[in-house]
Amino acid sequence: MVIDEEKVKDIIVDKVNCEKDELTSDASFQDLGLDSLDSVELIMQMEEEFKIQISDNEAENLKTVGDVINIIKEKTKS
Amino acid sequence: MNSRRVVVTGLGVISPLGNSTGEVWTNLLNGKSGISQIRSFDASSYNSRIAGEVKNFNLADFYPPASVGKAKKLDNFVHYAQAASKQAIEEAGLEITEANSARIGISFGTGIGGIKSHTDQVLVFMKKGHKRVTPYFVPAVIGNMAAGFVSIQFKIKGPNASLQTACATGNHSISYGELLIKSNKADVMIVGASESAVQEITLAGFCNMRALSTSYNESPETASRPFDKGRDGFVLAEGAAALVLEDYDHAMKRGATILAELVTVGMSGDANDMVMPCSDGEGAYLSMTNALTQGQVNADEIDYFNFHGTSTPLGDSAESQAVLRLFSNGKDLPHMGSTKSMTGHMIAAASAVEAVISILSIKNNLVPPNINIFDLDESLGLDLNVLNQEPVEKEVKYVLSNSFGFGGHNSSAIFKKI
Repeated sequence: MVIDEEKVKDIIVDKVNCEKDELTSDASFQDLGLDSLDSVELIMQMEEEFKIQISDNEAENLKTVGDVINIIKEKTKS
Repeated sequence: MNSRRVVVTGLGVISPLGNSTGEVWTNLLNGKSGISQIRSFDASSYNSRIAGEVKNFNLADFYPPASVGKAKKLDNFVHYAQAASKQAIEEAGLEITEANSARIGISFGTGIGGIKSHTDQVLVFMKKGHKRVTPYFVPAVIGNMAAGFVSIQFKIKGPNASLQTACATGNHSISYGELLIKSNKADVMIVGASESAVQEITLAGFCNMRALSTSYNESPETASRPFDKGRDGFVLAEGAAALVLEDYDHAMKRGATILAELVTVGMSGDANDMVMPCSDGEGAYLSMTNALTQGQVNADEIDYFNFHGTSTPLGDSAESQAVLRLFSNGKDLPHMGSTKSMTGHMIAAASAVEAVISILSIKNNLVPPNINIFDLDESLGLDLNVLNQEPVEKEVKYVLSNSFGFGGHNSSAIFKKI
């Protein structure tokens, strides 16, 4: 399955005060002003949207927009 | 400890009668009702289909732009608290700095808290399972978050707490602020209460306990009718109010405009029933006499009694008996009435809003009316000379404001002209 990166970005943009084209792969949650609860909520939304499971350990390593896109790609590969 | 005097230097209000003190005061003097048919959800199948809802409320008017996103995670009771606090702090001209912030505190309560978030997330839990419950569930439902979130917005670092006494929460929150200033634990306290419980689940609960008015769904503005023979329960409402309480010397030193003095808040417990008042008004009487004695004020010095007066058959009767007992020496009764005839019952926020009204009464030398007495319940022993239906112009030096909460929490705040 090819994941819709635009969809991922739409979900993130909805949570932060920036434009979609500012959302580069290396933009970190911290830079985007997302605190710990926001990050948890974001991961939960990705799980629901893409029908995947992200464990707490995996979630801890997700720091940037690119990290999120990559883990979704990986989890939806099969 | 009692050498410190507590004064009020700022007021703020969000209510069915408007979202500023000026608007609310004008509407009160015009005898306007804030009650209408419920708009925020379909209430057509409920026995009571009316409420005092807050209208034209915009989050962005009361938060800095950077806080709006975070604020949206929380319930309206937090936003109403923020809005009322912002107004009050601005009116007080209070500058909060690194140097003074630890001496400024917050005492802000709610009765029901984030009931909308609570209900919404229970539905998520039931439909999608526990893994889908938002991490914001706890911050959004806990009632102390109004006090917490407001402190974050204004960087207020003094004592911060939240008392919960149902419909008496406002007065108890004011009382806690008074005590902290008098005991020198703070110089300034932002105090008040807020409520956003005009929601389906709370409407169901209040309806099913037969607490609400059900006979006037087609003429909502006449439904809240304290002292009228046809009164049949209270009308649910929402809102918030905040007061800036301040040590008298502190206020004088910074040249603040003093709106009134908070003499004290008298309190008592009914120890009688979960939801019914003592039928003879014993709890209310004890609360008022505590306020008068502790504040060293005589009952006949009070120019206006702002009643709890929720428009329930038993409550208005018990409170009337208690007030009459204060005047059993034959002295003339002062003006009295319930502004809930216009605002409806904002639960926790009611006594905070009524404190604001009491102070505006002192400041403007005007007693607001008690509307909707079509057929006076004469068994209460009060006549229309004291239950003014129109605003009355007179020197208002002392006001006593009562509030009583489910659980038997009684409170009587006395404010004084200064």
